[in-house]
Amino acid sequence: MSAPGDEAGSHVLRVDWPRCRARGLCAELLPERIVLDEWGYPVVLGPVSQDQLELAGAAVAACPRRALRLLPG
Amino acid sequence: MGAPEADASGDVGGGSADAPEGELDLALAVGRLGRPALGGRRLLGALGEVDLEAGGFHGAWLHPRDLGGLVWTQAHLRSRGAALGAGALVSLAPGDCPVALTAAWTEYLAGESAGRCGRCRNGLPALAQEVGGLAEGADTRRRIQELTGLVVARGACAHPDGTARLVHSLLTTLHDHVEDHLAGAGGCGRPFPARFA
Repeated sequence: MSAPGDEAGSHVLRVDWPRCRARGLCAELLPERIVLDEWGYPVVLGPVSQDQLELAGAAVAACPRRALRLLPG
Repeated sequence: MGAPEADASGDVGGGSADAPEGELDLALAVGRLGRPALGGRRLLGALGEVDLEAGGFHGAWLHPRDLGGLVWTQAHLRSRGAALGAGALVSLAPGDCPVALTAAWTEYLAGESAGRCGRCRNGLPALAQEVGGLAEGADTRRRIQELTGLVVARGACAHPDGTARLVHSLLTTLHDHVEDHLAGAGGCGRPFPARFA
């Protein structure tokens, strides 16, 4: 039995839009969930599954602008 | 309440007999603003062929078929795909082209971006360019839909959302106008860029 918030897709990525400067590291580290638009800004494709949590955390930590957050869905 | 009295100030504090307390029959409001001498029922008829833009810059185009029974509340306008926006009402005068008007407004709104968020800073000028292209006769609708989808809910404020709503409503609510415009059959009497004041 899993605790609430443990099931797949239970976390979401949020972009702090004024902070984001389209550096693109998030899309390189988590291409399964983030692609870049034509100006280089992230497009989040959906909730983060359990097996993607570690990569998502790395993407959040790597953002040089601290513009990406991972929140419980 | 009986037929509205002429009210050049556009005071919308009253209500019609058909509207709930504190709400206003939208057609009546337009009538007060644009045709103050007519009564409410006749106004509905008079407005029958008039396209209406509700909410101003961040509002949406409404089709004549959707005007009946509209009330000036956020909830009701939302149910028709519109919004209160800045609270302004714009009705088309004979010869006005909604495509040219929307292009001019979108260009203005793109210039009003605070430039804080990338999607708005990049997306609105691109959107304005494409709507301008549409006004000039190029079928840029696919690209416009793409851009409105990109800027919605991707900013710190709702400026891009409101701008996208206005443009989106042109392509959906006034779809037939846009078709006529592109076919050159719309008889657009106004040059582009349209004047708006």
